[in-house]
Amino acid sequence: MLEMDSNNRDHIKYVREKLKPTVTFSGKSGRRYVEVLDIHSESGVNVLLVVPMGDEAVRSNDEGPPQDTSAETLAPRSFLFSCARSSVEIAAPNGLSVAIIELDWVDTAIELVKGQPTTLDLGVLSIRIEPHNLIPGSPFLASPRKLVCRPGIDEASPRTWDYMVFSRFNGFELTSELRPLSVSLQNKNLSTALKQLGSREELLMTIPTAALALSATLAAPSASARVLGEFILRDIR
Amino acid sequence: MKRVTTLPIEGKAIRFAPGRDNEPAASFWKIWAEGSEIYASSRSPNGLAKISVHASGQIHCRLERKLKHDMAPLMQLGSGPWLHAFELRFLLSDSAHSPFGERESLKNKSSYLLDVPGGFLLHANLIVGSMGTPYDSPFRLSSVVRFYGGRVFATGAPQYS
Repeated sequence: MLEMDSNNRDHIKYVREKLKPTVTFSGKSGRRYVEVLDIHSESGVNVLLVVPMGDEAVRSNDEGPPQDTSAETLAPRSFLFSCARSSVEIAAPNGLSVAIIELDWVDTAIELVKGQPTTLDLGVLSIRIEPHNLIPGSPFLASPRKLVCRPGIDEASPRTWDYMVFSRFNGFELTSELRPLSVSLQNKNLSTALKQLGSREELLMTIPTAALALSATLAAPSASARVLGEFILRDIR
Repeated sequence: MKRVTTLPIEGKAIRFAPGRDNEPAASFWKIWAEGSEIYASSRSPNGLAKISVHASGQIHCRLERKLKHDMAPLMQLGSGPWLHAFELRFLLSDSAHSPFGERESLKNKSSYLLDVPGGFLLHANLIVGSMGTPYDSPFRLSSVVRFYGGRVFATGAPQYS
């Protein structure tokens, strides 16, 4: 136990008031807890800083209309969402390619109203396995692979958007799963500003809206699923 | 969930968290040993963080199901037999939320709350001794979790080399 010094106080202030990460939860109700874990090295010493957060870190995807309810603020705004086709190969522990995961190319207009979450169909995620490279009855866990994507809204893109694909084979069926990624696009962080986004606004993008699992079998070597994305235009807190 | 009044505490695994008003003020951490490896993990609503300390001296961390990352290797403390793995610093502050449902999720597992008064912070260091190191061999740290002979010890009293 040590007495809090100015460095500690400054660090708490930095995380809670300046860095101020937020987590957007579904729905309005319920008790929430957010904790920041900062893992770094100080002169070769591993340090894990645990910073419990307060109200500043908690947001809801259903906060209702913004405070400014002028017609201009609430008018629908149009954006163009695009994402190039991307794919990744899944390998068995023996190195042989056993599946290809592919995210379809998409180019679609989206219309957003401030304060209203909007869910859109953003194309197809598919899996195609190589039955000849799979040994029936021999289960394995594949090494996680990155599916590197580059989704964009108009001219703006998040710096990285890499899905980690987790795959396993139970001896009969190969299942690959990817989990949702989300980003808050704010003009201060973008190299090309979004013209329809104000300096105190953010566009929150979550794709897919829930974890997606695709399964293919030796008898049915292909499968696909629709990819849904959620978009929220709102004020930065 | 026991409030810690005396140290050291020991067990095959130690679950601990900083506490305020007899309630956890941050997520619990569990530290345990399996063979010649030591693990530490914390499950918060944001996901699972897991640290593994290997006999080779390598230390890895993994957040959720993401790929593992290398951390700095075990570091010798002075000229003594103890090696430093990592330090957990709990930076508690006013108006921060507290985790909830911890009692329910821990069920009957033994766990410890380390009272942290306002204006103080808790540092917990994982210190590893090589085979044959006397448990009471001193080192210079104030608040530690020590691994020794397959058991984990948390001590709080200052010890000096």
